[in-house]
Amino acid sequence: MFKKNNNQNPRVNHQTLTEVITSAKKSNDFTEIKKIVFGSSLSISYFNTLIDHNTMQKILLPYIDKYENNLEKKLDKDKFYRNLPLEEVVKTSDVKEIEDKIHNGYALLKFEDKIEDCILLNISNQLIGLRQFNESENEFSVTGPKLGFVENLDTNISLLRRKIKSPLLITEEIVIGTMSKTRVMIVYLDGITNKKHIETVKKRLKGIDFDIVWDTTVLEQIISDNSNTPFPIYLSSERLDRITYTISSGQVAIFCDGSPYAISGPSTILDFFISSEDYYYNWIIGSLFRLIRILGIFFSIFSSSFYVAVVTFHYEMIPIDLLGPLISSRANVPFPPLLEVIFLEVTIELLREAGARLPTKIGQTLGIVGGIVIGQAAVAASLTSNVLLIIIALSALASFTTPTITMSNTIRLLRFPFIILSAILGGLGIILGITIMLSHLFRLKSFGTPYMVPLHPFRVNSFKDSFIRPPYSMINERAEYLKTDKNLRYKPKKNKKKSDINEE
Amino acid sequence: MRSNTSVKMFCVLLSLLLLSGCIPRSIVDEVSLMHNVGFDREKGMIKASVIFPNYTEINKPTLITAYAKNTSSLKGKLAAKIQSHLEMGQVRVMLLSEKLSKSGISQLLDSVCKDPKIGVIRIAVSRGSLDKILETSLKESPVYLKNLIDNSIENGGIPNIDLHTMFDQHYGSGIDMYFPTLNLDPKGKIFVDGIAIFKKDKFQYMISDKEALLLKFMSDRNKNGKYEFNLNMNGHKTNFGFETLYGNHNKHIIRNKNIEKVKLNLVLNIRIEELPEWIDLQNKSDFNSLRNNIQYSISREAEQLLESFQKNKVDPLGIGRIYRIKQKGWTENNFYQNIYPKLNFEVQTKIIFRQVGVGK
Amino acid sequence: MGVKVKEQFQVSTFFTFFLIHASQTSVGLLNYQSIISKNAQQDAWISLIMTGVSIHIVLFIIFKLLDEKNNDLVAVHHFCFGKILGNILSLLVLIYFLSSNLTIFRTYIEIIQEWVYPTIKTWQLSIIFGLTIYYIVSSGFRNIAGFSFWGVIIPSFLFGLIYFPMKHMDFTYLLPAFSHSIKDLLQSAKASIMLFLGFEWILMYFPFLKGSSKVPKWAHIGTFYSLFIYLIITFVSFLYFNQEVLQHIPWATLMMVKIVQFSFVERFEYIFIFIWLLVILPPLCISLWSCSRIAKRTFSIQPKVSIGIFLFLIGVTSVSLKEFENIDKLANFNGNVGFYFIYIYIPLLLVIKLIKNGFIKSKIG
Repeated sequence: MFKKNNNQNPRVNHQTLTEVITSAKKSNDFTEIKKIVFGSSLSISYFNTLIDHNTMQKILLPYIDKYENNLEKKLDKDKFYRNLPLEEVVKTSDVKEIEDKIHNGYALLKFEDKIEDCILLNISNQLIGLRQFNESENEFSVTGPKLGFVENLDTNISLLRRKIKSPLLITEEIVIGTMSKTRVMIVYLDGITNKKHIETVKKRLKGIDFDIVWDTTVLEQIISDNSNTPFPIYLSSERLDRITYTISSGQVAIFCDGSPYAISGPSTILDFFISSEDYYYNWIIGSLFRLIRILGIFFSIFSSSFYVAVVTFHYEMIPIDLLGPLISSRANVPFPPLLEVIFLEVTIELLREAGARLPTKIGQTLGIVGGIVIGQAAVAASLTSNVLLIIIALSALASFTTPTITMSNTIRLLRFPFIILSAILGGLGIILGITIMLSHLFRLKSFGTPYMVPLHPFRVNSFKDSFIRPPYSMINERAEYLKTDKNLRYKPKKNKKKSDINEE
Repeated sequence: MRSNTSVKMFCVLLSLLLLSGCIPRSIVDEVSLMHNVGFDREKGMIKASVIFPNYTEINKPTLITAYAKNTSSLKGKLAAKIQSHLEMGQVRVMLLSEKLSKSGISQLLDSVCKDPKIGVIRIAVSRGSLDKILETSLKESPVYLKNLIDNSIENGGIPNIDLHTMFDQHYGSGIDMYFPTLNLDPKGKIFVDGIAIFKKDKFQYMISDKEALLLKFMSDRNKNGKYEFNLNMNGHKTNFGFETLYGNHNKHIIRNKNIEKVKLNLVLNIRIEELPEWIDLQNKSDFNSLRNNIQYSISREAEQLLESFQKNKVDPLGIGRIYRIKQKGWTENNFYQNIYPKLNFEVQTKIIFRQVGVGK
Repeated sequence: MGVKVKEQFQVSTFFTFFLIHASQTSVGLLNYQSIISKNAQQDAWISLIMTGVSIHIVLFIIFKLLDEKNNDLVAVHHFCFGKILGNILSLLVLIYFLSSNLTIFRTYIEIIQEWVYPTIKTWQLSIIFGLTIYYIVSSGFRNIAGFSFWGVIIPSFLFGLIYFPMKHMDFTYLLPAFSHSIKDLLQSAKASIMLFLGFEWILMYFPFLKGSSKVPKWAHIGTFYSLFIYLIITFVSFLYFNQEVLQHIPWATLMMVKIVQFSFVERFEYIFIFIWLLVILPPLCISLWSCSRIAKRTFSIQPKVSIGIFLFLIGVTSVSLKEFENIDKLANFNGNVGFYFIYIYIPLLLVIKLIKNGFIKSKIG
């Protein structure tokens, strides 16, 4: 946390309007248009890179033109101001507000440099340079809507409001960032979300002192309960259905202008392993996929360390039929198993990073070619054994099954301490690693609620929607750990099934 | 706050570094694994013959022998002849030569029991030359001997013998040890040719594979095997064989005045595979006659086997155990000297024809 | 006199079940068969039942001892003996708890040294386990309770391994039943006390349990479940091993696990020993936590400091216990002290408390 109170950068304490205009005029994109209306000089000042030229040319300027050169009518500024055909007309004499709003795309209208007579018009163009829609390719789903948030906060909120049309949806705005003055929106359901969580979020956000807020994840790291953990504490997603689900179950969501990712909390560790697709399939299929995912994650974390432990220390555990292939595949490898595994793991990580940075077309080919060719070549050059190659490839695949990217990174990271522990202590190292990881997870809290619910403060009721996705008739109550004010989401109707044999 | 975490992490990392060298590695392709170990007695010393499968050099298994006066020094002498560390963890079969068995194997068995690295192993006695048997198995896969013994136990006529039964029989009183025997047939193939029965820890005598099947009926839960006998029925003579599937057995002691009799009840479910043409199972008298003949044959041969145990003063069935439960103040010496030689044996068999074949 | 614990540090009542059960199951379960069958042989299961029932009685006495006013052992000592003598007695109890911790600690290290890594040095394992225990205990009682929960749930899957020895059961090993004298049974019962020790730490964590009226119910269920598990394992061991064989096998449970064979892994006992770490960590953590709690309540030593000191002491002592004989002696000593503690000292405390209560009542009334 940043202890020193950074009150902007120096020299930005303009007292008068003239100072504001003079300082703004240093930039080339600050324009001033002078018109003569009611006999007095009217100046329109704005940053022409921030305004919507359509509004300027088709609405504002024609309106002013009507009054321009009209010498008969007396100066009636109020009528002039009232009839402005624009949504937001702000009359203010606060210099600071004028400065903030000019930098936000407002146009300043003033008559003959009189500060009492100036108004600000919102003709900003919020959508220049930003994409209009997001198909959420990073959190891909086969079925269901592919709606994702974009970099513009208003578009995001409009998407949200179209999904949750309830009057309980409250969006509160805070401005964070001394240089970026980013609009941050706290979204929650009034009367359902626990007030303590809302208070915690507001308190933490208001206490932030930061210069440029690039992304919601910057906020996430600053307000995080524990910044020394590799585990993601809050759920961050760019999918509309994911965030609306969390809001409706009683969490608080935080949106940030300029970022397509929204974070929501308090979240638990199992939130990171469920994907919205589970809810679009039948509950049996959804549960199966969820279980496969969780098993895949366990396999991904532990498979390499099992290999290292068994091959290095516990050769007695290898079944006798597997001994032959294993030994003959390792026969020519000069390295101990630890170095083999580290070599292959690092290769996979390099492939992943390289694939993420390359342009798409080259990235795909290189990924496939790199994977297959490097793998085969490594085996042929006796740098690794082919049994290990299969294990590492499968565990890399399995780690991709995590629906959230933040958790996927954590799992990538978690493998390495286990590998090193198993190389030092064998199977004992793995179990010690599990103990330490469990103990670490037990301590984590997300906005004050324990991270490992329902596993750690063992709540039987919260197990309903964790490892298995039950049918919609059974998940009609909100999760208990969120301590929501209202628990019931909907009342499922119970249809009494008539069995044919009784009716015959 | 920050310094506390970094101090903690430093401590952890330092301790991890210090501990890196604490456990010796047994990387699976850098140690010498053995699957088959044989012990013999030669020139007054114990001789160990070990087969190294040599997985790394594309299956060029070799046989290595060493001599020493006790089992621990054997390892040292063997280690002098191989290029990597000797590991006992994958031993599957332990062979004992007849000569060694006759002079007592309790020290050897003790070393097996005390080693935590030894897992599930099969122990067998080799007749003839131990080295020759091991050399013959060189040509086959490393688990050939284990599979051979496993197969004869599961599907053949040998009762279940493994480390657990060995412990039981060796340390328990009132029962004697027995192990399967391996031998080479005239063509040079290894086969399981019977059971070697021990008294205390010395080899006493051997029974054939047919008698082994009867022992299996009387002591094991798994009664799978193929039984044959000379059938004399309705004036026809033939050698008849069938397969036993499963069944039950129990032992009782019946005291009739002064005579103590051990009664064994056997129930066997069998499957007929072949039938001589002069037997028609639809005919009731034929059916009963066949059943009676089989029952009589098994009972008679079982009684003969029990009597031969008695004569040779061994007790692989554990009759001493039954007495131990019933008698207060039972001692092993007293039982085997006074009571056991005077016992009578009666075996009653009941045969159930489970399957009689699909064709006619 | 008693202590009021903030609700954020308390755990719900049903954790008592896991806390009691986890404290009782520790290393004793791996080698107890040869110890209890020394005197009563095949009737040792009767001794187990006797001990189990007596533990219920002791638990009953404990819950009569702890009430709203004096809700932990230090408070009871203060009430019965005054501050100074009470603190000294609490200190002695602290030493006893530490010795329980040391027994479990050293025995598990011994198991690892004997079965898995013959050449690892004691000090190395002491440091590793010491650091891990420090990390777990320093996160507070709630997390220790969570750990004891998972330390019961995860190893309960190991229970299914019973299938393998059950294939070779022989019922005649239990005969002749009921053939031992009461003296033999009592001697076996005394030897089996080490299986049930550990529940007495509730004397220190009682204030941390929400809803103290329901706690006795869960505690009794917990110790009954322990007895149930022990009986099942005893029966399986006795049906698998002959009594004479058992005397030659120091680690009977591990020998039974040796025969477990799956197609994808051969020597299951390694996995078993490693998962057993999850079983012994709860008693190690709870006992250490109780010691630091006594230190905090009597002499106001900060728990983080006292945990470090105690772990250092345990590490040093376990390194100095070099041979198996010494570990045996320690276990016997611990068993004896525990025996007198739960059967004599705790009822004595109750008697003194009742007398004092009667005194006060007569003074008032």
